[in-house]
Order: sequence, then C-alpha cells, then structure tokens
Amino acid sequence: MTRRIVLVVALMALGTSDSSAQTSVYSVLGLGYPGRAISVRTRAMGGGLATLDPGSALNPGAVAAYRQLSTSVTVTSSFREYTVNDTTVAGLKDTRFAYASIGGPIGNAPIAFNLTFATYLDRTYDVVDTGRVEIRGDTVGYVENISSDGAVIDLRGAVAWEIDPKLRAGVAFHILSGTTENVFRRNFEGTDYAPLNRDDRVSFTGFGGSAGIVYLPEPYLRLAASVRINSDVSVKLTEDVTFGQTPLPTEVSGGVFFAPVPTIRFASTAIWRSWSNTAKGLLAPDAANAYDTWEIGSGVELQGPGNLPLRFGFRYAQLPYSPAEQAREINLSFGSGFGFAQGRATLEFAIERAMRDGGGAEEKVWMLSFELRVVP
Amino acid sequence: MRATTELHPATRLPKPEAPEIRGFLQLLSLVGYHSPMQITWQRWITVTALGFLALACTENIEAPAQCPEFCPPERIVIIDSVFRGVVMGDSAFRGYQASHNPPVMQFVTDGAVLETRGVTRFRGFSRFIAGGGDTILSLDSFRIMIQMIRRDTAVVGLTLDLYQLPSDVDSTTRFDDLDQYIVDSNRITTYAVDDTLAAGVLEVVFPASALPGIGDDSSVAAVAWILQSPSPTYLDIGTSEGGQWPVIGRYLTLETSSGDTVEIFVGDEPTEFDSFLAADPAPLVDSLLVIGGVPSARSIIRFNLPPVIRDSSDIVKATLLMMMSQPVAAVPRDGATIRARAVTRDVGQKSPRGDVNTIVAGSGGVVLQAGEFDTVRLDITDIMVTWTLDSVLPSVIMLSAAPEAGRMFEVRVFSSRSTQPPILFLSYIPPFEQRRR
Repeated sequence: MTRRIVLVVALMALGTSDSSAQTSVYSVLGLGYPGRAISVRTRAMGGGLATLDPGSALNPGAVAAYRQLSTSVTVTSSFREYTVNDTTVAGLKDTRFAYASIGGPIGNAPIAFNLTFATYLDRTYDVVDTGRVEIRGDTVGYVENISSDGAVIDLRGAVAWEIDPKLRAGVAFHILSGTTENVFRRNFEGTDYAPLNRDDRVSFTGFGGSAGIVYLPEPYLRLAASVRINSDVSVKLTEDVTFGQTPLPTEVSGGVFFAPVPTIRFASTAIWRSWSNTAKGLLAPDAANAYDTWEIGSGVELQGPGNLPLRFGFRYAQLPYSPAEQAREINLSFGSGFGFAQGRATLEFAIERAMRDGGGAEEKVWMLSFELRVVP
Repeated sequence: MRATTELHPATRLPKPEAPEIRGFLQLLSLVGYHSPMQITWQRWITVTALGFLALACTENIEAPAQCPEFCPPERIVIIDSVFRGVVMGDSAFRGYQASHNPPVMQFVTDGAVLETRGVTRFRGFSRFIAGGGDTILSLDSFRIMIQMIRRDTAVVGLTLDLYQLPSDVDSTTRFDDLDQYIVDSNRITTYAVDDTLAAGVLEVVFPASALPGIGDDSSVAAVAWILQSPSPTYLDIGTSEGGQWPVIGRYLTLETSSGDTVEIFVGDEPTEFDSFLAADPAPLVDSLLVIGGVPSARSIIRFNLPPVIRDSSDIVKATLLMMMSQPVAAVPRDGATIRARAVTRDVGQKSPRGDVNTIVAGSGGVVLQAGEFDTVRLDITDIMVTWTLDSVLPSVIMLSAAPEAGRMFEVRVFSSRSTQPPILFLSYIPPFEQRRR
C-alpha cells in the first residue's frame, strides 16, 4: 500500500512545476489572479461546499469535522485559450500544485487542526510585445518579453472546536508569502541601443486571520459563515528595496449544506471580497480598475452505483481586476473519486470548464484537478 | 469506493514469455496491477490520471501581449537626459606609443599639417663568401623594398627622396636632427611612386655609388625618406613591428672559377630600426584633452555619476559629447578613430584598460576626418552598461586614437576645467522602485 501511495505522489510531483495555480490572461493585472483554496471535491461541486468542507481553507470552523488524520495534495492542469482584440491565442497549458492540506483531531478532545498550502494570488504570465518608442527624437522598434513566475502563497494554520454537536467554531492564522521571478527583456532594432535585461525577484509578505462557525440545526442541514481579515502585504524588490504596502481584501462568506436524503447532497457558498481596497497599492491603470467581488458556487453530490460519488457544480465569480468593466468567470464542473489501498487513500478528480470574459477579453479553460488524500 | 487490492493467488497472471510484455506488466504492478484480469475501472482512471499528469509536465504560457489592456502596468519609461558636471579629474598624457612602435609609419609631405620624415636603419651586411675560386669584381647597386599599406589615390605624382643617414640613427634622433642630412649632396635617389598603385611593394634600385661606404661586410645602411607631391598627402608604410619591414639587398658582379662573369643578388637584409619623425607636438595644456598625435596622447576621463545611474538604472545609450578646441589635425582626406576603453583600475596615467567594448556591439568609436571642427560624439554605451553590472569597476575611461601613433592625427577637446566641459548624454531607464513613484 505504502509503495503505491509513494508512487502516486511521486508521479503527481513529476507532473508539476511549482506552486502557482493556473494562469489566466487576467493574471497580468493588479495583484494577480486569485487562487482557490479548496479541495477537489469542493471544486467538482462548483465551490458550493467551500465553507463546510474541512479539507478546504475557507472556513476554519469546518475543520472541527476532522475525525482522523489525513493529508492531501492537489494537482491542477489547465488548457486554455483567450481572445483579446480579435486576436486568439490557443494551446496554452500548465500544470501546478494548487493546494495541499493536512488535518486531523487533536487527541481525544473535540478539537481539530488543519494546515493548508494554497495559492492566494497567481502572478504567472509570459507575454511578448512589439512596439516603437522614441529615443532621442528617433522612433525605434523593439521586441520585448515580460514574464513573471510565482505566486503569493497562503499558509494557513487552523484550530476548530466542536462546542456541541450542533455548533463548531474555529480560528486560523494565515501567513502570506511568496516570490515572483520577474524578467524583462527588450531588444531594439539595430545595434545603436543596448538591449535591456532585467531580472527582479519580488517578494511578498503579509498576514491574515480568519474565524468561522458551522451550525448543524438538523442532521440534513448545515449552515456556515466565516470572515477573514488580512494585513497589508509588503512588496519588496530584491530583499532590500520595499515598494510599499498594498492592502489585501477582507473576506466574508456564508454557506449552506442540505441533504434531503442521504444519497443527494446540495451545497452552496457565497463569498464577498473587498478587492477594491487593493487599488491603493496599485499602479495606474490597474488602480482604477480594482473591484470588489462576489463569488457564488453551488453543487450537488449524488451517490452513484457502487457508492461512486457523482458531483456537479456551477460557479459564478467576479474577477477583481479588469482593464475596463468588471470581468466574470463561470465554471461548470464535474467530478468523482474513489478509494484504494484498503481505504487509506482516495483519489478525487474534477473536470471544470471555465469561461471568463470582461474588459475586452474572453478566456476559455479546461481544468483537470486530481487530489490524492491519504490517511496515514 | 474502495478498490480491491488483495489478490487471490489464482488470479495471478502466469509469467509472460515476451520480455516487453513482462516489462509492461511489471510497470503496472507498481501501481497494484498483478493481473490484467484485476484491472478495474478505478485502476484505469488511476493510470489515466497518472499518465495524464506525466504528459502534462510541459508548460506553455508564453503568449503575445495584448497591450495596453492586458499588459503589466509597470511600463518602461526611457529618459533622455543631459548630465553636465559629471566629468571630473580629466587629464591628458603623452608618450604611450612612440613613432617607432606602431605597425605602420606615415610619411607626410611638407605642407600638410605635420610633415614627417621616415627613417630606416638596416641590419649590417653579412659577409658574402664567394664559391671556391669565385672573385667579387664589383658592388653594382642596391635594392630597397618597402611595403606601401595605404595612400590617397586622389593625389598623384608622388615621389620619395632617399637620403643617406649615419648608421647611428635611432629612437633618440629627432626631426630637426635630420636637417643636416636632407641636402642634395646626400640624396641617394628619387623614386617615383606608380600613380596606379594603391598598395603594394615599392622597389627602389639605385647604384652603389649613391650610398658611398656601404656594401662591405658589416657596414650598416640607414636612409631617410622624404615624401614629395604636388599637394599635401601621405603614404602609410609597413614596419618591422607589423611584420612588413623594409629590406635592402646588393647586386654583385662575380668572376667564377671557370672565368665567367656573372651578376648575382645578395640579400635581403632586414630593418633594425624604422620610424617616422615629426616636429615636437605642442605641449599639453590643462584646459584641453588631447587624443592621438605622435608620440601618442591619451586622455583619462573620470565620471562622478549619480548612484541611481551607476548602480540601478538600465543604460539604453550613452554618448560622451566633447567640444573640439580646433579642427582635427590630420593629413587632408585622412582621419582616424577615437576609442574609449573602461579603465579596470584607476592609477592615473598607467591605468590598465579593460576591453569592455566587446560586450555590446555599437560603440567601436568615432571616426574623425581631417579638418573636422565639431562636437565629438563618442558612444560609450557598452562601458556604462558594464559599469551598471560591475560595481567594482571605476567610472573612468581612457580615450585613445586608433591606429595609435601610426598616423599623424590629433584631436583636442575642451576639458572639464574649461568653459565647455564634456557632457554626458544618457538615455536610460530608471530603477523599478523609482518608476513607481
């Protein structure tokens, strides 16, 4: 059993490059493209289970649901294309570690913990541009390559307490950290002007705290709510030069889980984030185009043949940064999972079709996520 | 949801015969497949997922930018700025290359900017031993061959007057010292340069009587070359330093042991010393920087650059502007190049020069022609880019002429202690943190 799990983990690691989430044409804007700190099961349900899933990093109150120690790692591959100004770019793909989690009960007490590793902001992009610039009165053509590779990572440590069978509450501390390797290359026409080669390492540091509850008024009904507050994120260039402090959004979420019969489970979560706060730390024109966002996800999980879970989801999300009107994203998702190794391991998968538009761009993405969950 | 992992012994696959099949099944067994019969749909999904992940390890995120809408907001801003007062401690020194050092010497006619006189001292003639019974009847003539490297083909009717010099001529001989020998009584011959010849060997033959006292064993021939032409011009001649030394040989008449009389050529003796002499250059003055001349002068320029430029900015183009104090001194229709080299250590006149010009193309120097009287615009982009990358290098450059001391060419520009000091014209990109402000 152990050999198989190690092999699976090793192959999953082989297929990834770093910890960033999938990229998007919107990653180049503002602070980046927000990541999703949720399990693959929740992904398959459109994010509807996010506030109630102990394996997701949204509501620390949900962590109290852990009954045994388990760890999981998620790999997500995306295949995307986008269209901007009648130009379509297709064939873009990448594979990333999107999420990892370990959690479980603490002794015999009704207390559980959870440590998660998730992408908070993806800042990965690689664009090639051409243009002309005036130098000393002459108009000079150039080709430039601007890329950023990295992300702001959200490391969360959560503790939750099952106060009574109907109420769970939890708190969490978040460390926001990460670096991006920024590369700028520009070559001018001819040899009169020196090419530019700039490599910068930009680091991000911040903190956050979150709290949440889960209320179980009936066996078939659960309600959840959480709130998260972040400090400003400190942005530094090559360790000793500080760009400044950029505010991060406050986050408020609420969710409901409803299981009218044991084989049919509905879940829905709504999240609001004050991304417009971040405008204070952004350069124009991004500063004028930072928006608060709503995200609403709903899904259903059916008990299929052979206890096979079948999950379907729908998600609507607004994006925080857009060059013009606020952009949005719609996800349709499907997923399932099964156990092996005498039930000590579970492989979950989700297939998502994301459609983003707004600000003059349309983006379509196929996302395939796999999560290996192991009970040691 | 749980897959069966324990296998009944009866379900185990018999050992396959084909090695390739066995290897495939062994691979499958790593993820729990001991028999094809045991491959359930869950396992197919597992294998598919792992295969997919293994194949998806390649990444392609590079895309054409959709600017300005979907570009990083940190746009590059190139600033064109003139920096005055950044040159300090500049000075000129003469004597880096003497006229006998370069691989070429320039004969210049009287009436040009600076007349020069060529000097060649050949190695002493070696003993010629005739064959058994042979007798040297007479020394008939000499042949001197020189390599013409370059000339102004627009000027025709050039002649070279050769004068005999004493055999002790050397690097201490000065231009004026030759006056006493440049007289008709001392003239060896006058050689007419072929007007159609742009470059090549000039072969000067003259009777032995024109070079009295020379030709015997161990005698040393030395000659002066005076270029004459209807209008000012020059001839560039190869030197021993450049591997193209003048040579001299002898034509002899022999009587062989059989009684026959034959003429033979014996030589060629190479050059021991060659140079070209000009009047002493004007002395250096504090308000001027001098580049070129013979002996050669170089100028050292020290920059006091703002730290934001020296350490943090990206240099797109850097041009050093220097105002001439007088027209370029050179032979008409001739010129040379002024080059800048970064100094790897600033120890004044003897500072070693780094060859940083090779890092980036486009700053090989500036070519100046005789009579030009303008602002010298010297591209030092490569050097400044190097400075921004290497904080150890001093912000010092050394200006020199190329070819150095091999050509009558001199430029004088105003120094920082004049009313028209050098100016640095920079096109640069300020550091990132500054662009954000």
